[in-house]
Amino acid sequence: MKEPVLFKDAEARLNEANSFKQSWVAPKNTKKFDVKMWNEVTPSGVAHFTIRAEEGAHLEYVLFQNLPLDASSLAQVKVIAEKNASIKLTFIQQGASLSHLKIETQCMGEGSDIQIRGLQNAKLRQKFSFEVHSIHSVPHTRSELTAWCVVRDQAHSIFNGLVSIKENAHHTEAFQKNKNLILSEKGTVDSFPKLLIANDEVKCAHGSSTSTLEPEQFMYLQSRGIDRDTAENMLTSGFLHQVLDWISDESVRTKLEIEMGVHEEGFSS
Amino acid sequence: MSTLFEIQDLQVAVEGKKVLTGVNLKVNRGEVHAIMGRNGTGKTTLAYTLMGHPKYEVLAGKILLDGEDITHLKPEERARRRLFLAFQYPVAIPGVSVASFLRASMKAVRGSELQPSQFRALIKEELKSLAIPESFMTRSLNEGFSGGEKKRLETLQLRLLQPKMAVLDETDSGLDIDALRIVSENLQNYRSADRGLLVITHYQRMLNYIKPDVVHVFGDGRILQTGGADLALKLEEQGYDWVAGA
Repeated sequence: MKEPVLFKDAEARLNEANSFKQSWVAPKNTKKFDVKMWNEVTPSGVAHFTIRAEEGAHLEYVLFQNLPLDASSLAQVKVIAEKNASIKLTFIQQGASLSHLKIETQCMGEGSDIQIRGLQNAKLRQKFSFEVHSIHSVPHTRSELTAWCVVRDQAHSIFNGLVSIKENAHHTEAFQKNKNLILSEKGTVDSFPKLLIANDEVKCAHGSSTSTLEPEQFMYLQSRGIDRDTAENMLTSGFLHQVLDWISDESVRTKLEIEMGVHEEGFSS
Repeated sequence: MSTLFEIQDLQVAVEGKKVLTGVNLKVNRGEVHAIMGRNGTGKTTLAYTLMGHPKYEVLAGKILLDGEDITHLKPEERARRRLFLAFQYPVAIPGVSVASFLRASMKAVRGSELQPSQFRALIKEELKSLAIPESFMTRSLNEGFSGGEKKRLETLQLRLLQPKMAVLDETDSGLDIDALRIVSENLQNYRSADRGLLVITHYQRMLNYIKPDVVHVFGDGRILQTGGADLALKLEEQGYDWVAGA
């Protein structure tokens, strides 16, 4: 089966010399948390980001793309973890009519760990594409990626995931999952999770699931007086929250929940 | 005593197969009825049908709550008329916190939203009486909960939503001795002169706390025999072999 692409000239455009470039680095043995609202970082167009944690550093990053619906976005993000460094990255694609995000993760030093949760929240005729390549080239590294996707109306989403484990990268743990939720008859999803393993001593898994909302979940909520439309909103919001709740900074989480229309008051006073 | 809840000749099919073959039952205000029976005889089908699960097709018969025919109402419409089902296996809903779920369901059933401070105060009191830690409120609904935790949460919902008629589908399963006592005492406290309870169970142990007024033996998709509280004790001692048709 031929893999669909959103931007036929994506590679060529990503290599344009005048594209926007920005790097974020956590220096050696530091801890850093940052969030970038895509619209504030770069206007519509082509962008390159590099996120690097130097030896022993721990970096958490949130990227949120919420461009206007008449914009298009083409971005490449390199995520690099050096020896004993960890990176936790959350990305969200919500705006733009066409949005292609390409992430390459490199566990470059022993003991490095890269965790990513991504979310595509697509509606109307939006077309989102997410391509990820997780590369393990040294021993004793770990990566874990879960990409969630909600598709409404006539929106379309593509997931292309690849895990590459090199010959000498023994004792690697690498996991990739793609979870899709389709909320309309005309919404579509293509998912291509792949593994390329050149080593026997690894723990690896990948998978993809695509579903609609569960009837038993509807029944449970309705049995508590909640009408079907409200139940659908709650279940969809719950799906989105599985990514949002992962962000450790509460103020950032709240800001994104508000931007996405899924903020609820907490319980504690 | 006036009739609160009535099932008339209820016949139900699941995926084309007839499971309930004609159930008749009348619960008066203030009464507790227990239904006991072997596995696979249709007890959970009855519970789901009463709550309006779309998978269960009513072939014939009626369900009446306070004299109103609710047989073909949606589940949420039944809930708003204060019918409640405590599920045997409550489903997990990842990403939806217990607090936001309770807030939404209370708003839907009561018809108005409590102020956040009132909501917190009410919940805290009920959590205490069910020995549920406050940290439950921020967890995803039923996700990763033990069997006992799920049943406590079902009981919490019953107390918050204040139904006039509640169906408990094996609420005692999955509970340890202490949890059984706590849940049962809460249910017993809930009992009142204008409410009704239908307790589906396999064991006498919960009925030691919630004394039933009427006990029914269920088999072959219908009620085979009806008696007083002593019937449950007899079943506990002798099993179902002596019941005709069981």
